[in-house]
Amino acid sequence: MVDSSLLLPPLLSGIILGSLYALMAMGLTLIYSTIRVLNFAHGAFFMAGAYIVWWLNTPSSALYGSSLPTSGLSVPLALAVVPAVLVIFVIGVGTQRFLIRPLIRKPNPLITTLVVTLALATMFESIATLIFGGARVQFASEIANGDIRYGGLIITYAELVQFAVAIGVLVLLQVFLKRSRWGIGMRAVAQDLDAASLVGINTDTIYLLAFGLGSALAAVAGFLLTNTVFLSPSVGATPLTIAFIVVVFGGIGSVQGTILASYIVALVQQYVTLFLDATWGLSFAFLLMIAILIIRPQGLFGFRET
Amino acid sequence: MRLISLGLLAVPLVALLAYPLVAEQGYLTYVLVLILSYSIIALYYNMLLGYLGIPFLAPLVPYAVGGYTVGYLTLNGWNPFAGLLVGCIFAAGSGFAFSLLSMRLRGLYMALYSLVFTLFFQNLITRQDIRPLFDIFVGGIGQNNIPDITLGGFQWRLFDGVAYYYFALAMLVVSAIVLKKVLDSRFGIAFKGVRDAEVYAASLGIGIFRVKIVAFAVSSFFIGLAGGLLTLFYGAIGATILDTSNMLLFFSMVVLGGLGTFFGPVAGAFVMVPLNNYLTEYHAWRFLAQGLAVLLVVLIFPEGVVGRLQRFVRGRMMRSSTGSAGV
Repeated sequence: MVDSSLLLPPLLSGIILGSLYALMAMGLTLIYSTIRVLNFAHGAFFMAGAYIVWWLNTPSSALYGSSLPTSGLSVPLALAVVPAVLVIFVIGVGTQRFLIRPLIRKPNPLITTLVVTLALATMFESIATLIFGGARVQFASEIANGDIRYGGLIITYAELVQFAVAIGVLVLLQVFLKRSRWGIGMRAVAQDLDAASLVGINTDTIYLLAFGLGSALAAVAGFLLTNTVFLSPSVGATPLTIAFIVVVFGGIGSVQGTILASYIVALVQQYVTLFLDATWGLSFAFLLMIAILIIRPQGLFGFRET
Repeated sequence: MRLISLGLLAVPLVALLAYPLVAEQGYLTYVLVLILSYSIIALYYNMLLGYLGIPFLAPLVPYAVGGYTVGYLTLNGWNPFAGLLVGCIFAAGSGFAFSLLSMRLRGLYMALYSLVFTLFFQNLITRQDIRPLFDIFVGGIGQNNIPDITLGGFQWRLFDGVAYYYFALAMLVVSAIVLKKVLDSRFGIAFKGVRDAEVYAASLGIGIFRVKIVAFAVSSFFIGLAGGLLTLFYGAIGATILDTSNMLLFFSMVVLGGLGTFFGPVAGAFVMVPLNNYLTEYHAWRFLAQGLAVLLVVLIFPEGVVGRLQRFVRGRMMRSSTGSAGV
């Protein structure tokens, strides 16, 4: 039997990782619940956001003579996130305006928007490869240094910052959705499109805002997750897959379902890693989703689609 | 009308039949074998996507099942043709099993479930630590040195694989005829009912589940045929065929040509496969070009190129017929 002191670290790392998954998946949920579109380019936005922060932050001295482009500005990480989020927000708005809106009222919107966002993801990945090369790069520094040790537990400050930022952004998003005019409009559109436009909500603007915000969340998650690991043009693929699992598991379009599923998936991954090995983590997440869909075809909190 | 469309079909068919006799061979033959095999996939993938309207994203699974089965059997001394048949049957079985597991899912749940199913399958066959799986799929390495088809002492891969070319062409013609028969049968009519008004179709006594199961099994059978054929042609198969870029290729062929049109997906294969193969040396530029091409075509023709063409022709015909009625 495994020593009980071993059971605690996966719980902690699972909670931290789960918050990041929730951040990533919440973008998809936001976009899906308002626009009824699944954004396959979400992983590409994740990657692009992280690269923008990297480009602004990395001093050219850190690259040891390789020819990768950096801004040479050495912007501090906390500041560099702001332009990255703004750029991805604008890209998200543009995607909705120029790619999704023309297709949404045509035949087969589900399939055509899938193809288009998949194509967009491919393009982003190849553009990143052309600019930054296919190899992995790392951030020159982590968001925070040092760690807390308590008994056998080690939590780095970087992990704490990841957790705090993810939770903070999620709480802000909830406040925005519940309190602000735009947020209430977004929820109204999600509930009933026709009724919302009848009471004078400009649905086109709401769509643009929802897509922009959802994409911006991916950029934040991209920076937070890659900061302590590495960065490559295909780095968005695994988080996107996990976000898909989370979103389906929780019920597509359900906020509380997304959050609950994020923690369940992250905890399952961490404990499977503990008992078997890391390569099994994702397989079990897959299995979990397949099993839940056989029992509940609409996910945990979803509604049946008609 | 029927004669005209048959005549229109005969022209490209004769051109394809005569091609190896008149033109110089080489890489073009290789690409043509690919195009013909992918056309089979496109035809039957369209059956699920276009005719039944199921957003199914796991066509790579029956493809891989067909391919790996043929590879494993021929490596163990089976006759390639027998292996191909068994591969098709196994692929059909995989489609059957998948449809049973996904019967209650619809819309995006189906799309994401099938996508994750593909990734799970890839994840499983690349594992090194499960002995029986590794023996069959050979992990990340994949099956290599699969023996060539030899008929009467003639190696098929010789002479740029012209034998494979004719075989693929024959299989494409057979698959197209079978698809036409299926679509004209009562199942084909039921497909439209399931796609456009599932509840109404059910109330008319159409067994929705049965129709879907048959459709999944039949389309997986032929997608597996293409997979097996290409595995024999390459002499190898690996887990990378389950990559997302490959799925974009499958998916875009059908959507570019036109969902729910008969020859649209074939047209899509004739555009997308060369775009994929002739640009291989340009690495990242290739994916950029592919993505851009898909994006533009879908935005300009959301119903696909052939779909748009059909609407245009139909509109012209209606106008001319009403015009003559007026005179």
